[in-house]
Amino acid sequence: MNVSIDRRPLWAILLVRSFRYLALGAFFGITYLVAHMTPPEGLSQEGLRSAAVFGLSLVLWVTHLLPLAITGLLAIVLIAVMEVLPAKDAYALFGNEAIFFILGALILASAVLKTGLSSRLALMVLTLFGSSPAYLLFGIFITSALLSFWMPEHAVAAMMFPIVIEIARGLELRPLKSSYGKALFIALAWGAIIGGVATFLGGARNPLAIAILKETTGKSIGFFEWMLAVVPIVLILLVVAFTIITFFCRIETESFDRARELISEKKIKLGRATLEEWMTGFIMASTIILWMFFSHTLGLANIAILSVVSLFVFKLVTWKDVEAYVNWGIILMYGGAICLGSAITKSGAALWAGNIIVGSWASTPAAVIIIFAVLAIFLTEGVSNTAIVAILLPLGISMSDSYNIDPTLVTYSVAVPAGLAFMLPMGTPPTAIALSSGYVRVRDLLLQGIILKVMALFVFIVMTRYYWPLIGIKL
Amino acid sequence: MLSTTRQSPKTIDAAFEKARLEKKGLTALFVLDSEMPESIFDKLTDIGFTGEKPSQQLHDSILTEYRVRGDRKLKELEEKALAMKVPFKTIIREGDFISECLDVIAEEELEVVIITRKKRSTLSRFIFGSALAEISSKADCEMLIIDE
Repeated sequence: MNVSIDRRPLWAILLVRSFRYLALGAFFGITYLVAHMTPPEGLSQEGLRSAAVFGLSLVLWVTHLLPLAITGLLAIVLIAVMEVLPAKDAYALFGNEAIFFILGALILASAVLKTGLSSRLALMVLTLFGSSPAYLLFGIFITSALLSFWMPEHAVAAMMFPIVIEIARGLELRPLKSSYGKALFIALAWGAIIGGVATFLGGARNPLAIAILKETTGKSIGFFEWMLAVVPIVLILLVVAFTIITFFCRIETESFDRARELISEKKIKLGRATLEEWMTGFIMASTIILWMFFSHTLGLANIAILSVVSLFVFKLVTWKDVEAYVNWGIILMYGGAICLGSAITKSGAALWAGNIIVGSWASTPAAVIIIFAVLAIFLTEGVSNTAIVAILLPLGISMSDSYNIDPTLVTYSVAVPAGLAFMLPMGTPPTAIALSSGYVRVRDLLLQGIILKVMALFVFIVMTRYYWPLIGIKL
Repeated sequence: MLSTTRQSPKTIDAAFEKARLEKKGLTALFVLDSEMPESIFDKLTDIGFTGEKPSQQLHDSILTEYRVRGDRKLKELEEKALAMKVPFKTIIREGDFISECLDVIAEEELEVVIITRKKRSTLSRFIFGSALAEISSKADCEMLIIDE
């Protein structure tokens, strides 16, 4: 038997082993003390208690001491236990329409993945662009982006990875040495990330933002309205991102036939499209059309759930498939985030905290919008983008009244930049996936990512100022 | 001792040179580092809320790629050993770098371990620890450390 002896000092071993418990104990203790303090001027006792729960959730979401979903559950329990909201109301927020929309969208995406329709679509687009190394790079970038319009961006990056790694291997690109190899994986990650902000389907943070908006103000944003506001930004960002990739990563490969062969081999292996793929494609396309043009009358969640029912009517997926492709933790996280957002807004804690954090810097509505966009786009690098929406949006919406800003504008200003994590693997899985290929270094993502981030912020501000007023979103 | 992220040509040259001069056999261990694919798996499920199946498929795809790279590297070394007439043996393992190294050191009763020290800041070593320091403290054999 191989016995290994830990030779570190005992205190160091004990400290390392108990650190997590000590930290959790300290955070819970501080929350308890804060919740029982005398509230500062301008904040009710209820507001102070909800601010304490908000602070604890924020710390847990940032540090990952507990899984995101469990922190979401904990937030609901604490809101009920601390009597910020009656337990009945707190738990009822789980029945929010957005939760059922997300649920439906994820089950639809699972059918697209399971039937192989997603891989077929990816290979179809790649075939169109497979005539030269530069076109192929663009093909990978645009395929990731377009698929992320209609499926979760993380799932797109995970699905594209095996295709791109085989292409890189086939072209004999050397990990860390090949500039083209680097470009392929950055294109995969950034395509998925940028495409993910275009609709409600690329990242569930977008419907979460709409749910928080609706719960706190009664206002909403439709599927088509969102696309109308965000897709032009996405198109500009795609051009900017591709320019940055090709500027920094030289396309050094010339022998390209193997990549073309690989793509066509994969297409042949898939065979002809099956009836299941056609039917899934038809249901998905019909659902998107209904979401775009009838969401105000029929309701996003109703359309999503009816589409899911039709998948089961035609036996396109089984419940076992759905369980394998959908992570139910998302429901707990989002239920908690909506409940927390509602509690801190209704108790006045969000407005109080917003005024302290942002109010001292912001003198005009435009400054408020810019500050929230800057906070969201930079904080999202280190924290899950969903958590960023859950943390920042209630503060922004609460401040919109005092600055006379349309809360829908604040919603866009937090949700869109929160999805743009280009630099670090902590914020979003696609960049972590690109790094795992071995072709990309963190410093590549940091250098190219910071340039893209600054450009994205500039594009966002310009579009807020000049484009959005044209479609009725005014400051 | 090689791994997905530890393949310094300087260390490989030093190992071959030592084996040739001392007329000893060389055992090359390549560890397919499972830490990265596992962290991606966790990220996809915990932050990305992706289901188990796509996360597992991606995990397997990353490990397959690492295995291909490991096989290729070991084949390259085998050819080098043949040319230099150094008795050569290859081992490929999947898992944690430290425990796989320690296991192979014990199983193969190695006399000397030749390993790369990666370029990292002192702060990074202090915060994240050092695999090399841990192997040195636990292995019952001579260690030859080559800076990257």
